[in-house]
Amino acid sequence: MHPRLFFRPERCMLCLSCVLACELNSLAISDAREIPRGRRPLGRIAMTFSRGTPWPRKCQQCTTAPCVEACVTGSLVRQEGKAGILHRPETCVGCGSCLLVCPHGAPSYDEREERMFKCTLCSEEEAPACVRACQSRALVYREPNLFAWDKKKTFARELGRVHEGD
Amino acid sequence: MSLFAGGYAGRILYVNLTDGSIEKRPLERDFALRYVGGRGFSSRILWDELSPGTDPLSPDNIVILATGPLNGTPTPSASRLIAAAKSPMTGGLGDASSGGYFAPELKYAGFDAIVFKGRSPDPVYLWVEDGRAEIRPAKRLWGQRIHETSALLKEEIGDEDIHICAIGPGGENLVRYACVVTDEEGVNGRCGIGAVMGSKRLKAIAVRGSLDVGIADPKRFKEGVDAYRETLSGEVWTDVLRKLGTPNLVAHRQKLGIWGAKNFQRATIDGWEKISGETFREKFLQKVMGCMGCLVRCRRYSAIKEGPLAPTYTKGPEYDTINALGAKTYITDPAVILRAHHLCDEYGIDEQTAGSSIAMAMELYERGILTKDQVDGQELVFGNGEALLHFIEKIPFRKGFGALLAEGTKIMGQRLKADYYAIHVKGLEVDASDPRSLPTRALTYSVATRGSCHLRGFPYIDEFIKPEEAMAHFGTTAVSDLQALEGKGKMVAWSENWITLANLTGLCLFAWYRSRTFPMLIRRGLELVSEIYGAATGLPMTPEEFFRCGERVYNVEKLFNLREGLGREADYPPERFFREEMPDGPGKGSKLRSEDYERLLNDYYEARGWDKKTGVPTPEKLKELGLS
Repeated sequence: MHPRLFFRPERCMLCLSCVLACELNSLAISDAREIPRGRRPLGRIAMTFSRGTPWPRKCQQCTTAPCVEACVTGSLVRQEGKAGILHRPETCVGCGSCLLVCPHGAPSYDEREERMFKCTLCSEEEAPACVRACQSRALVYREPNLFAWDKKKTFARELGRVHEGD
Repeated sequence: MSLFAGGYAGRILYVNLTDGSIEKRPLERDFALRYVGGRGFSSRILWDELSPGTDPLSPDNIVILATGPLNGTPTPSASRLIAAAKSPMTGGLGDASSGGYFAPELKYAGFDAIVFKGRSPDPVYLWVEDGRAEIRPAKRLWGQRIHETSALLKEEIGDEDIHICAIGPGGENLVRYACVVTDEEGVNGRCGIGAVMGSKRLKAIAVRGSLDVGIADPKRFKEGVDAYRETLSGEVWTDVLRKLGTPNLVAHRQKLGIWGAKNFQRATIDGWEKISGETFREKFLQKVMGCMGCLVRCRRYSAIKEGPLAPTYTKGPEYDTINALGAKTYITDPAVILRAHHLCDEYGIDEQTAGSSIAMAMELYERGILTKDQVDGQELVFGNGEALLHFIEKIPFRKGFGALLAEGTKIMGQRLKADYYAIHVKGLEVDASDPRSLPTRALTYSVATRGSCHLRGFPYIDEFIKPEEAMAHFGTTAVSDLQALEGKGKMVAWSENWITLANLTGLCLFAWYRSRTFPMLIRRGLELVSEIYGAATGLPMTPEEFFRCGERVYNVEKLFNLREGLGREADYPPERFFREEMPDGPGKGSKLRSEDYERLLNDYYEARGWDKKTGVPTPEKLKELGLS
């Protein structure tokens, strides 16, 4: 199975490094001071904070994706070799059907280019920019079975520690 | 175009709410060097531009939001905003500070401060963005609580990332101690600045900025900031604050027995564990949060998820929350305290004064001075959480007995002919702790220029200064003796000048003032900060000159108060502290002795270079500070 993006809210400090990294990535720059004046960069991850819990709003890379079904130009496709939905900007007309059907509100509208955009897990790169930027490892890019396995091991270890006191 | 190489934005926004005119005035270099920023700017502008005797709730009062030169730079914890005006509570200088993200954002929008004058004919808010500002109608927002106000503003402006200072119904209804709430989280709580905004029909200020805050000498700046950060990593206080927030002080207050519980009738609390920092962390904490650029992260976000007061989601609580809404009213139900705190933030009233006023009313009720039909039929006894919550809902709207509670303890004392039970200095309630066992604390709280305040000075020096350091700095080893009175006047005066510096730069006290050694207070607070200031602004500033700015600002504030008729007689603690002994705890039997206090006050005035009888700064002192 291919890696997917997981979020652990108890580790999130709301530093927004992930948001910044995604924006810089979209402009293909590495220094925030190079952001062109007056131009709001495209962000494909947004941090929200609700009732004490942080949560990143981003594309969940659904296995059965409503956006792929809804896209009128076929610009959204399942990626070969990666567990993600690829958005092809060249053929996108910006109709917003994908946004309409997405239960997460993941796609956004790019006013400059007059088309949609969304997270593609930084398909050109080793690991997503947001994950590389996260200092507390709240964002994790891992194969789902391995992620589940890590969680089970941690739980077992904690359980063992609790019972050591018995 | 700013004439500063960095630090300052170089512009002060003047907004006339009467005629809707807006002016951008340049920040003068000389003004910046003499007053630095923050409270320095607001106090001096209030001195220069406000006529004495002005009614604080009239259009002639002035409200100022002021940042410091380090807000918006990468200095750790440079997040603080000052809100100032002539206080409707004291009739003297009023200011309050808050953390969060507003002050840096105002710098990114290109302004060092905003000065509001006049009164708008209709409710308005100010929108500030990248070098320009606009007054906009706030009809839809008027009457809304803080949470709704923020949501509506974000929707109207179309940007989730704006930062907002707002008043709630409390400020709109001119509750005397209404406050300003920043981003639903930080509160410029004391002195009634929210009421002044309400009297001007100024509902909110919203800001978004994308300009740069310059750094004149990046290499020198980085060295200074790295050294500064280094001094914070070793501090025990940093770790304690991150784990428990300010509520960590609950255990400390109980141990020393210095609560002002039951309106200062008790110094210890039975069942205090139920409202300790540990309890709040275990039962209610959702997330540890922080302000801009802060590595301490003392903020809390808490929730009540079960029981009759669920659901409640709120930032906090702070130690002062527990003190005012729990200790003073003798309520040890943490959920009640949290819920009351949440309501105070939503309605925009200062929880300190709200708790103090209700506590005073509780004592009057128990003594039979207030009867049940006078207090909305409530059983207004200490420990009654239901009564507390009932009145927190009434005060913002001045309903029923809430109308009198909305005036604060000083006026309650006058109207009910019960001044003795009003525990305040100059009209601002005594907040931190009971100073009867340590007269130096009483001095600090009573001479503070905004009314009773424990953060205007730093008397805790005598807890850790070594005898040789005391001799070198204050001329006597007695300053290192906790119980001694000698030299303490001088110590308090020095500490006031020193602690003011944080309020001038925009730095947060928590990342600045606590230390286990006296040399560190000087190293971090004076030497490193003046170094960072010089590197950021490109302006020359030695530690001595920097300290002098603190003294200068403090003297301007004293002059302001004197001009408003607050003389020596206003620099005294409440009579209760002289008449009654502490009833319990380690300090049992202590009370302030008149001759001790007179001596401390005289020494303090002398150390400050003020006339011993009147407290008026002498012509020599004014000349020395360049104020004549």
